[in-house]
Amino acid sequence: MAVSDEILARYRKVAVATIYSAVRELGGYEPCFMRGVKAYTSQKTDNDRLAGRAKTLRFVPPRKDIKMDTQSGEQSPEYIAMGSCGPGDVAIFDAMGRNEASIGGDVKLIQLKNQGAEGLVTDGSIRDINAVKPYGFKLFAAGNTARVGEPDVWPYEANGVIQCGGVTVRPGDVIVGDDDGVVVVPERVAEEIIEWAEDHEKVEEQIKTLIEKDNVPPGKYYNPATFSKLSNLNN
Amino acid sequence: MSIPPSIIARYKKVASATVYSAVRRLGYEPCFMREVFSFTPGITLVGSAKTLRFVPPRQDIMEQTHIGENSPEYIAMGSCEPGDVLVIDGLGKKYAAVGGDVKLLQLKMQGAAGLVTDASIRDLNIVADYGLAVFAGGRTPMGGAGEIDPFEANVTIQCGGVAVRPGDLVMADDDGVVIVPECIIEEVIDWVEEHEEVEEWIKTLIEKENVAPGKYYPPTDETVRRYHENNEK
Repeated sequence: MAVSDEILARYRKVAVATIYSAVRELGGYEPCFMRGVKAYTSQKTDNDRLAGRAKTLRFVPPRKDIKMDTQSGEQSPEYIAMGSCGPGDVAIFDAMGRNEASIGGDVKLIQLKNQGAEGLVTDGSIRDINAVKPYGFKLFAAGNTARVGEPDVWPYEANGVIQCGGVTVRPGDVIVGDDDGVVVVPERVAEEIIEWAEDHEKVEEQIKTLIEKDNVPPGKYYNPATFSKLSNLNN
Repeated sequence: MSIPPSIIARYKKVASATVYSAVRRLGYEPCFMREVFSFTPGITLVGSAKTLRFVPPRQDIMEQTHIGENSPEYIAMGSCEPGDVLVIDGLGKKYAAVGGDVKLLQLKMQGAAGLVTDASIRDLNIVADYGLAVFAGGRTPMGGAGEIDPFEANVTIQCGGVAVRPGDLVMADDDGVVIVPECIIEEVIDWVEEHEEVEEWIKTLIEKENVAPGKYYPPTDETVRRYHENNEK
């Protein structure tokens, strides 16, 4: 069953750094943080934080026969992938880490706006960046460029298993992103992770208060023992 | 569907550099693998491609794919017929191995001609003794654990920045690895053979007349016509 909008709303309230710790420490999923992928839309409020269900698109190096064999026009894999996105869904584009390769600009990406998608994440580049930002969906990429993608990458397959920024992504995973970057939460641990992360954030706030009040090095309280002790008190 | 042995034999007589020019000339670019080198120098590897795709490791996926002898890597190697080449998309991870002497024993048993990967190879000295030609991003003592994990056999992959489909022809020698898409295998070798003959003829002209190569190189249609005129009497 797909991760609910209620769960996504809870994810938007928690820092991506905390989600990373949860996925890594609790879930044992590493790598889960995307290398080289940066926020292009800023987070002023919790709701600006990216949290959505993954839809995926895999690019391959361009090849004439593959271009002829893949569907073109509206049925091209890129439009199938974007067309599969609704509210609460994030398009994740695997550009093979070619951070100079364009995966689309203001014309193509208008489809994500039309679909009301939550956001776009890619380890490639975006062109027409200033025209794309106002579309309103959240944007994370490895770069921006004036070039087109065709010499470097070709959209090949929608909604299969992909890599992006060195992390494996399956359709349905929860993708979270803020100014610290993007983390992939495997679908099967999505509920467990947010429970742990919410609890962990509360404890971290308490620890910060204690450190300031006692005027001590963070090491006094910032350790697993304190976490479990304070966490038990909270429950 | 498999490539006729007569075609393979023709490719074995030519250079990857000329094959590159032919594939490029037909509009297939990129076709040369970046950062993939021969680890069995002096050997020309030509064969039909089987493929294997790795992804970054993930516990939930590994639970579904690590199923003993039916793991994707063994499906891929098991699909190799005598003379085939296994091309492995290792995500360009230069310190992670796609396999070593134990796993790659299967390629030897299948009679494969070799393997090509943009990741690394371990236990190379033993693997080379298997009679396999090896082209890789590097050598490593590490396994793949933590960096890459086998996911899917015989789909379209990338390797060294080139798209590879099962059934493509792999042409590799000390200059590197070139992929010839299945639909142009015959057209490419026809052009390559003629072009190599013309080049040889041009080299004799350059030396004989003691001129700069630019006088005859690269050959124009006119040069090729003159070659035929002079050599087919």
